[in-house]
Amino acid sequence: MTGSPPAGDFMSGVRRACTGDPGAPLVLLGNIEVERDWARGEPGVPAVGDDAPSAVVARMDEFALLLGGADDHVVLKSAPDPGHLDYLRGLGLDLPHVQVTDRCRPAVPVTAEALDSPALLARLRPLGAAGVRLLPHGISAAEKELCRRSGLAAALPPAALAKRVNSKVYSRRVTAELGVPLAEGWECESVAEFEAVVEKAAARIADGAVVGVKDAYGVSGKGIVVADRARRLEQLVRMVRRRAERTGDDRLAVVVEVWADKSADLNYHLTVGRDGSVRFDFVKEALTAGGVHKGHRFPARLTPGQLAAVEDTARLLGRRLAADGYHGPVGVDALVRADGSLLPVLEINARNNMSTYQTRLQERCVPAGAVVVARQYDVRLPAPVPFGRLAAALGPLLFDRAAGRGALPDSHATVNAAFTGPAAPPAAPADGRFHFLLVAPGQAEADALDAEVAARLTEFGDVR
Amino acid sequence: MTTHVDEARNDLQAKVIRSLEVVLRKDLAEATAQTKLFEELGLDSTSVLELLMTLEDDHGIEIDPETLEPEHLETVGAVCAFIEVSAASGAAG
Repeated sequence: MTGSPPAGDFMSGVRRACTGDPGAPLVLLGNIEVERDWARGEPGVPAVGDDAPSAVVARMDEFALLLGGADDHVVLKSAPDPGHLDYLRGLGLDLPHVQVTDRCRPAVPVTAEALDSPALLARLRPLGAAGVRLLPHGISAAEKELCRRSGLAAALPPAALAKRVNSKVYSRRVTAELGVPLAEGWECESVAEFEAVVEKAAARIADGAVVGVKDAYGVSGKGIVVADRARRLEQLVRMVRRRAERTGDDRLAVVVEVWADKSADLNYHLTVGRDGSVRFDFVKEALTAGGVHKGHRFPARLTPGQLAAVEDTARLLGRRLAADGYHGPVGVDALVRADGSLLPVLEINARNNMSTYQTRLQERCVPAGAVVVARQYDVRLPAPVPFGRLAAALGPLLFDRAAGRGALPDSHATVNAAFTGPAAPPAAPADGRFHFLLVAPGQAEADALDAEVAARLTEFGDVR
Repeated sequence: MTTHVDEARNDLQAKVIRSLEVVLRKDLAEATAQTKLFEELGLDSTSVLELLMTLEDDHGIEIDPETLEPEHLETVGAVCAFIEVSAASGAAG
């Protein structure tokens, strides 16, 4: 099924939304760590350690490969495993031209590596001259600089606007303005505001509530403190006050929210056009552990009423984002409360989401009625794992298009992240991450497949 | 021969491991002074601030997270050494 994309497919809609042309070729960039750029210079919850992404996160750049067709290009930190490319083509995916950065240093984000790649930039310039646009995961000053140096026009709006609409302060204020149900909570933009809010939050904790303090510009899975006692808030106040005294900067960008009892996390997706059009794309269940993304499950198990509420909210948010000048893909985190009611907006992520990268595989390979669980497995690897070895280890568990079931590896670069590049391989076992779409006829079969895949992966190292 | 200093160190280590068990919500009976917090115990950026707050409570110290050095959190033994210094100086960081 290579060649022209199916009419009305996901990416044609994204192209139309971002460029006006459903067939416009793109240069794709999987700068998954864009939130790090948005967060820079925005004091939030105290951070420990350095700012660099892990080698595994930096190699999530390869997910962008899945969005491109034969007329597109994708910038990657290293060439994909040829076995994985053959496998994806065998599933009926036409794939983009791969443009590799000049170097691949493990913890360097793909945009930084691209900016430091004269040979790559020279290859991109003719594309820029031909009018091809850059569609990154999300847009920050670094991607704007890449556009400037490569001559590629950006498919997304200005970086400062993208940053603003990705703040959790923006999410809360817009949600309230639209009259959409909102988690009980407060926005704080200074240490003094935070101190005042902590008093209110401590009163809610005294009533038995649990409170979360979240960075307004939070990097996924970071910058969250869960407080089940007032003492934790007192400690946080002392820490941010001390920092403000040390730096002379009283700004703080956090939201404080009363944690809701939930039965499911949700992630839904919409695409906002330059012309103000809004397309609702899909809703999936989000799998999280301790606030950290672990994967998805779809279809989402929602009642017709819940689904209608999600779609209505998506359209309201999309129109508001368009009015504020944004266009491009948008994901929204939401949840279903324990009582079945919906909290339709936890945060707006005006960028690609992990679910974005599943769309073409979903359209091309997943049979109607199948249950899909997107899962990641962290493994301590003593040596790199070529795709061929993974396929052999999975054997009949490997997704087969004709059968319409099995474990479909949707990224391979994260597996060998620690072993890529010119540096000597690590002496001790290193972190690698396997990503799969587990496609099965039902939930029980998906759970069984999950357990079997985890067992097979022990062949390569300790599964965490 | 076990000295009072050794005993105090062992007590401190046991207390630090208990703090880690609370934060990581798992049994760490096998942990030693050499055990690495991030690589071996799975401490991550989400749980590390909670660990610091728990250590503050358990050891009566104050920590400024943003002046910590990565080596302070490398191993169980490194955390113990850091707490000893912090407790002696009255505050950390």
